[in-house]
Amino acid sequence: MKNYIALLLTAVLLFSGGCASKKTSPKLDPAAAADKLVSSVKFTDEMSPVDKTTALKLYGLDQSAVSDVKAYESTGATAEEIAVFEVKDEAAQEKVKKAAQRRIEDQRAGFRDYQPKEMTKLKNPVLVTSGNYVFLCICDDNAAVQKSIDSLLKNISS
Amino acid sequence: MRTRRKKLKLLFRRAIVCVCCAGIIYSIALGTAAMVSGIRRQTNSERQPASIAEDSTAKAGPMSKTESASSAQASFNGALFIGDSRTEGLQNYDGLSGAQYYAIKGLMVSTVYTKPAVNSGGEKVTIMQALQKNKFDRIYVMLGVNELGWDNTKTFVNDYSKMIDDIKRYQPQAKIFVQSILPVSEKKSESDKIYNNDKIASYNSEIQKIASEQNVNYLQVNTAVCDSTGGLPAEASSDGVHLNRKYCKIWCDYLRAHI
Repeated sequence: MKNYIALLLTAVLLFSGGCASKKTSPKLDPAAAADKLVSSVKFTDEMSPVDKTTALKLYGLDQSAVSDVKAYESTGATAEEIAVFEVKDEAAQEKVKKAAQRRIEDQRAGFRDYQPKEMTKLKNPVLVTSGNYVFLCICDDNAAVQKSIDSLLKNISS
Repeated sequence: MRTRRKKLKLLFRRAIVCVCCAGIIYSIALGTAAMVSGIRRQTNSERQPASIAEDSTAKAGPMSKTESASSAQASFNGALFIGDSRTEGLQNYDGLSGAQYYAIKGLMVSTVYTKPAVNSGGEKVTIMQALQKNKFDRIYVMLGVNELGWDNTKTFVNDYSKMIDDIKRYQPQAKIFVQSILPVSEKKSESDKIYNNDKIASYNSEIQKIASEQNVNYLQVNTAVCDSTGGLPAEASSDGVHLNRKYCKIWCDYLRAHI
């Protein structure tokens, strides 16, 4: 009888251990992250959200690499821009990072002669990759952007 | 006495077995629930990309999501927009699902031949080169604001006409729409010798003549976004030139109504 009970209890422990939900690390919502950036950083232009399809098109990406994205664009009077990507894996992170770098280059080429003063923002924009997330923010206040991104990343790592 | 003790022992054993069985059932139920919720979470995350595609129709302003999806997709598949930074803005906030854009900052009627603006097979080609490769049903052009500073309006007219000639040559099947130049704000107009609404009106008059001579459609999109003075309302733009999201949608509504 004792053996029988011990056997049953072992089985129960094994089963519940195997089936219990894996503790997943907290996720970051790209929409909430982009909203936080747009509200916590000062932009000179009017920033408006673009839909996900347009955001992917602007960056030359598709859904094979990106799980989710939220982007804000300025009116075109400035180079100001925000994009937060959630990528599918490590390879996708590299792909999205390169796409963001290409976007910065395209914007530099576009603004160089058109609005040369915007080149200050495009000189060294904030491009951050961390885990499954890629952030790009083009504006005047890189310190405020970095602070907001650090705070967002702290929330998912703690 | 011994029988009673035996009975008690048996009862105690049975109680232990019952408690264990209850524990087993409870644990199995917990484990199964965790497993099911895990599967559900995984399925949801696999579905996420689909939400990206679905969201493409979620930007059509006052129209309902369903209405916007059906009318925009039905109307602008096979349509191409050629233009400068203002058309880039239209691309960002358009709601014209299916439309394609050859739009780049500072584009002019002369630089459609020289400025690499379109990604094609891993390289950037000029708009005229791209037009020789891809076919469209309808082509919308809005150019002219960057040419306002040109010394000679005749040069602008000649270059504009040549561009339309070539678009017709490369896209004989396409219906061509030339759009009037959008106004600037009154504040901008009053403070700028080049980018002002008098000059824009003069250029628009030339564009209308070209459209008539070339037998292509002329769209007075300026009338859709201007105020009573003929200028862009102050609320429409941060710099008096580039339209914000709200006014891009008004521009889109005009285009939808004038197919």
